[in-house]
Amino acid sequence: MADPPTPTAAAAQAAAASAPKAPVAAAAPCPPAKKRAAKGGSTTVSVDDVNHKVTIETCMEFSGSGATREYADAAKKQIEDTWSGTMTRNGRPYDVVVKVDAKLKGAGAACPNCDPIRVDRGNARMNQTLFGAGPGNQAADAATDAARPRRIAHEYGHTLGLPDDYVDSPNGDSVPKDPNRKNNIMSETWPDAEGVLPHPGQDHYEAVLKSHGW
Amino acid sequence: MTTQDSTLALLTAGYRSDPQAFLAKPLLLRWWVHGGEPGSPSDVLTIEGSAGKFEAIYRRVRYDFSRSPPQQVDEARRPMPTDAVMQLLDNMFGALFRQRLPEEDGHDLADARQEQWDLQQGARGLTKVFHEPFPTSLGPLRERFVNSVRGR
Repeated sequence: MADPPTPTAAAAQAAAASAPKAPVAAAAPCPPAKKRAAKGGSTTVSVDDVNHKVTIETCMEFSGSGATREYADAAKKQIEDTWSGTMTRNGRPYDVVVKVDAKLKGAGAACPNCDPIRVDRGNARMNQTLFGAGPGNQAADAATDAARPRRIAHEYGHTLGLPDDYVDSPNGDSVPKDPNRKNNIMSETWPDAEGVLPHPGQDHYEAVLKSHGW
Repeated sequence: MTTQDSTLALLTAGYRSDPQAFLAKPLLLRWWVHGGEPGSPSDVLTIEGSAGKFEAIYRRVRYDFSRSPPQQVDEARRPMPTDAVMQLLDNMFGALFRQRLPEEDGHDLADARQEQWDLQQGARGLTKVFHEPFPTSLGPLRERFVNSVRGR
């Protein structure tokens, strides 16, 4: 058994406890977590509730005969211009910042941490595996298609896990799921009669946050 | 047995036992290729009618983005002889609705094209949907549809 503290030792302890402490450096703020979709793909989503900012980051690796540096740069710009914007979260406005790392595939193995996008000359079709968890195919002219300037941005919506917001009808028409909604990036890739380009909406951002664990 | 299986059994039995009575009721056969990114073409070939009077309707939708609205629709109609309709029915009741092909399984590829086949008599209907790449084994059925509409 330890000896009880002597009056002198007890006084010394009390004095130490009451002495002014040395200043402690302020802790660096912990960066927001980057979360991924359970279904895979390279995209991470982080939410900074202090600075009211949502950051969506995706790596895309372009390959194929139409995968030039110009194509990759144009794809990056189209996606970032379309999908960066604002949303409302917890009743407050948040900035949404989309960053695409657009790589060109070299001669070696495919990058395991990027979503593979095949761009072949002569291919006119565009499609995309949901969440980027598999290949996407793009048309080489999609980056310079003035009539449909948001084709690549629409496919990126699928990379984020979003479905189409239209259904095909047997009479040949494509019908928006919400007929009152205009300029929806998941329904159209061309401007309306007034020149307004299609863009994402609040429901799209909410779905992306939810599917990426927020 | 699935609902589709029992519907197939009922429709096939009705057709085999009394083709004229079967063809007297409203009938619709459809071959529809659609899907793809927004602004993709759609081709629908519908054969419909009743009481021995049938019509083939080909509806083609294309997008011309230099025009407003961009959707451009072409439609062509022509009468269909009953024996041609019966040939198509024989084919649809055969391989199309009796076999299961791997292309019927859905996948996570958004904006993929789809090929849909419908057979409807009154309130009963059968549907098959194939995802691209479309089954090559249906080539003869597609050719028969196209030729019958062209009157060949």
